[in-house]
Amino acid sequence: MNVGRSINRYLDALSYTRSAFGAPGVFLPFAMFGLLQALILLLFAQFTHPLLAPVMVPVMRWLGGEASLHYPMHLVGLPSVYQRVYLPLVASAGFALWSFAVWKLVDHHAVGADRPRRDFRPALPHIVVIGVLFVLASVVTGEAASRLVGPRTPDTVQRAVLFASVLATASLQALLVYAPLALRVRGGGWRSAVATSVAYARRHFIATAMVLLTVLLIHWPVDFILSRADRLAARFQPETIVQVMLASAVLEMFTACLLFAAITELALPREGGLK
Amino acid sequence: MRAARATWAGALLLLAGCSGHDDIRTRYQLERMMWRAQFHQRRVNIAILGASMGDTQDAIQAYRRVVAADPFAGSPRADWDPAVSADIRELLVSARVALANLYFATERYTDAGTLYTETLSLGSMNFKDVLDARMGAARASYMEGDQRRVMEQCAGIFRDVQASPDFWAGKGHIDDVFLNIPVTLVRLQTDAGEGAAADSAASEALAFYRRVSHTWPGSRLDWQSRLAVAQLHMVRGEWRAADDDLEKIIADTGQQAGDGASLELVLAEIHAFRLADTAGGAQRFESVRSRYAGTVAAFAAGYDLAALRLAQSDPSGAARQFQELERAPGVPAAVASRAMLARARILESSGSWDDAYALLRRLEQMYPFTTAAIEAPLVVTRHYVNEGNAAMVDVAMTHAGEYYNSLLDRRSAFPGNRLVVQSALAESFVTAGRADEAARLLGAGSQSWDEVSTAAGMLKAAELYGRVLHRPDDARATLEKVIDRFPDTRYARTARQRLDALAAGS
Repeated sequence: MNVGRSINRYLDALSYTRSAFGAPGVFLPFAMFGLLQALILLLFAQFTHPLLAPVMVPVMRWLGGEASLHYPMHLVGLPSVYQRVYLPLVASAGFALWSFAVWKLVDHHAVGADRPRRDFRPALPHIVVIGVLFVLASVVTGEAASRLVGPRTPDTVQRAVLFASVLATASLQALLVYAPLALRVRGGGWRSAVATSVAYARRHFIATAMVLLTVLLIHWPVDFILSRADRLAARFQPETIVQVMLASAVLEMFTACLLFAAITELALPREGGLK
Repeated sequence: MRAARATWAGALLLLAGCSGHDDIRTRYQLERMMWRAQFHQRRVNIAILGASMGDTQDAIQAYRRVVAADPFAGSPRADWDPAVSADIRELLVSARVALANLYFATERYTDAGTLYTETLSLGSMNFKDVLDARMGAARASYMEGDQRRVMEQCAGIFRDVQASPDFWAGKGHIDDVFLNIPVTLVRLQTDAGEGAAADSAASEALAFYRRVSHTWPGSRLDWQSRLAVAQLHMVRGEWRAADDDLEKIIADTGQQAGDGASLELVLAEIHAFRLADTAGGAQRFESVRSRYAGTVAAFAAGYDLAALRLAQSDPSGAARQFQELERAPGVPAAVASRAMLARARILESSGSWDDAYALLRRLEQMYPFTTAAIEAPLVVTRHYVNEGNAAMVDVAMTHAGEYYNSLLDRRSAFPGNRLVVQSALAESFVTAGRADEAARLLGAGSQSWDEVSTAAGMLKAAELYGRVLHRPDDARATLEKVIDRFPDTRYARTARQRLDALAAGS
């Protein structure tokens, strides 16, 4: 596939996402996961509320240590504490809800609507396994990048490693991103879904990677701000960190919808595509 | 169904087993309030030169909220985790000290002093916090003009340091200022005429400094203690002992850390002006000049040599040396101006008034912000008063008024003490027989003066009304004006004390 055609397909996929945003049934699962994240964040942020403290104080201590019970360290450390909950959450509930949305997206798609309907519930355990693999891709590249960068690493090298890790995450996730669609369209287990996804992604790698990079780049400013939570707290108010994290959860509702809608469009062209 | 019931029962048991964590919640809320207060405090610190009263007042209100939220005020909270309770107590002490510091910065000395003292009485403070609070209380008392409480707090600091196991175990590092407190205490007691107390404090201080030197020989603390002992002997007028101390300190070259020039200068001054050892003094001054050429100490030694010559009845030789010093390259303004003033006085006494007058005017123009320049108009006024030249007294007074007002103007770049300027102004007018005019001028103040100058000027005016003009009613009215206009300040306290003295006198 030449680059020009890949870019055209990428642009068509982005253009298709508008119709997905316009369909409430498609957007609802993404909104539900955003709401779930906001709820958990508020529980963490308000852990000293008299109604929450009996449960949340031990939870915060378990997740973030004694420092997380002090102001403002509780808020400065909130992104890393929340990350410990977010990763299993996105691998399970997140991926389940997003995959449910994929089921809706296929039904809503002009080509996908012709494909035979398939029950969602039997696919759920396989979806969770795919979610874990999807999350592992970003965890492994993130961990590798953090091991390469030390406190004395020059800024230029740090930026290069960060950029490389974003590219590596996009590449790895690009290979897995079609797996929920494969489950919906072809059925079977997670192994065959992953194999189908890898094979399809390799054939349409440029357009797929561009969609994933777009999503990662939209998130990058927010992730960058949260990686400097201490400075954010000192410059404004520590509570700003919670506001930015809530904004990130809201942003994720739209970017996840964009990702899976674009991927559905890439996977279901008028000719060829996943069958 | 059975499994679901068991899960719910487990969850309820877990909830019932969890405490409310009131201690952690309270600590968190206090830390949050403290962060807000420190946020305002940072704004005040960043804009310290142009700190808006709004920021300072916000910081004061924020710290007051922290102090008011003391959870131990009504209950001992025995069921709280001791570590969390200790955190809360430490936080409250920090908030109290910070609030007291802000009261002090805004000249609310009574509030500052009360809060420092209350904080001390609460106990549960660590060694360093106790010292800081006592120092704050001492400073607040000083600003209020309450020497008695200053001495009490200094004695408290000395007692705490002496009795602190942490200090003697080398765990509690203290600032140099605390190590000098015993000397300050003896000086205050000596100035207050409390001879017996000063004797007792001096012997305790000597024992303390010896123990410090013995505990940490060759350390910075040892060095500080040895210097403090020399200062103590100087405060007590024990010049021979001070001389011995300084000789030993100077001989110990390993510890001087750049203080050598000034220590040798002090030693030379003790010999020249206190022990009547003029030859020894002169030799030491020469030594400072040659060994530390180009330094402030070397120029000061040059001034001292000329002054010594003048004291030995050689005015022309002294004048020559002063003149050389005035022209020396790199001479500091303070030394050059003092040399000019001294030479002008020699010229005046030798009958060359025109030269002396020209020199004094040049001094004012070249070094307008120096102590010597501030004294120059007084020399001129006194000369014309002694001469009986009323016309020139008028001219001198007009000039003195303009010069002193230029220094008192808050927009002027004058970096020195404006109270010294007010004293010189008052003395010039009194010398010229115009105490009434000085009292009116100082009592009315000027819009261009700052608050401190205005308050101090009014006190000086009351002093003139009372002691020089013998008009107690005017003195009383001026003092009452000070109390009305500057409540809760040391000026109001001084005014009250003087009102009491006036009442007792009448």
